[in-house]
Amino acid sequence: MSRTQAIHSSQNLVIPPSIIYRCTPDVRDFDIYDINLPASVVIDGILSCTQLGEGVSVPGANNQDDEKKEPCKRIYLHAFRGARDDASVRAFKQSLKQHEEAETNGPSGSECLLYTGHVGVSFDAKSPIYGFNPNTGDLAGWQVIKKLKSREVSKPYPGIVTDDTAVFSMAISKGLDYKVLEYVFPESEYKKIQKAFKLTRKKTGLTYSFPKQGGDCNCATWPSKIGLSIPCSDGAMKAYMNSFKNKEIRRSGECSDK
Amino acid sequence: MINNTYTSEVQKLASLAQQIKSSVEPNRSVLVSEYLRQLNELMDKGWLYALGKSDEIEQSLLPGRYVNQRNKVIDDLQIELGQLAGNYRASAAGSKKEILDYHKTFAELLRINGKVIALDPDSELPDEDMPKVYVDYW
Repeated sequence: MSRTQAIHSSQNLVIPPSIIYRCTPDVRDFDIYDINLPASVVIDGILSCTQLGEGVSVPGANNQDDEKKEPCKRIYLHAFRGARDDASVRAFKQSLKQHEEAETNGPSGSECLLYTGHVGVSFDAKSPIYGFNPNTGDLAGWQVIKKLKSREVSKPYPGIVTDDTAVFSMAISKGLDYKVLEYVFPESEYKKIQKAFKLTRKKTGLTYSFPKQGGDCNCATWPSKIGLSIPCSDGAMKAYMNSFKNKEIRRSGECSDK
Repeated sequence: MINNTYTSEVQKLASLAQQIKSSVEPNRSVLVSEYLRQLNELMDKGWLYALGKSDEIEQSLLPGRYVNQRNKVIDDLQIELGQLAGNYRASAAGSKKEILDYHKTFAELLRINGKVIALDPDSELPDEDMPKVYVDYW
């Protein structure tokens, strides 16, 4: 359906407020903010979107209202899945084994993240990207991985928020499955999340573990601790990566991009 | 994940697959046509699972919608293993139930996929509790 058809095919229908929509790609591009049409027609223009649930109103539906709305601000959720091809997995597992046998420190933190996958957030722009990690002190990489898989529920790692932009860049350059979810917030809501982020960046009391291991969160679920509605509360990378589309946009509250 | 079994239909397809593997032309083409007819009929009835690698004919002959359906089952089983690994981590030391549950689902994934598939670290158990075939593969 073309954009013009989308606008004119259903002008008599009414969309109730407070509904979240996921739009089909061609309609998602539809510039509802710049078009000078009555509000009802503009709303009709996004009727081919899929209704996801209640809670947030359709943004930009009325140009007059737009002028009264807060400006929109953006937060990006970045996620990549570790390399899962046989060669990469075999190489990493052998590296773990060699370091364990030799009692040496590796693999490095970056190597571990590229293997496990990682999630991080950025504000306003697509970098820098900050992620939640276990503060493992002097513990070797192979020991960390081993402990994270274990039943040692009473001893999660203390958490730490670090600038992991370099790891995310490496993930892109290696061609890993990498997705970005864009959140659009009214400025006031954005500021609350940013403030919570700054506090945890400075110092966090949150502990890190793999899912269900007794810690407060892992990299995937940490964004919810600063107020982001994450795509999947599971925390396991496979389910998490399946739970949203790359370049998906999620709007929360009413705001204006003008 | 939905395993709405249709047991007898699946068994017929498994039997046909074995016949196809040991057949030669022109009989083979007839058997393949019959296999595809039965497979399509089964999917039309609403069957949503996968046959298992040993009960499939060559990938290039399989209908695209079946391949998509099977890939979805493989995806779901990996997600289930992630949940089971979480159950393991949450369980008391020495408890065997979580390990057995994990091994059962892992065996099903191996049956459907036909070979070991690399899991995410958070979907793995420690080596000593992982299925031996998985540890040995790497």
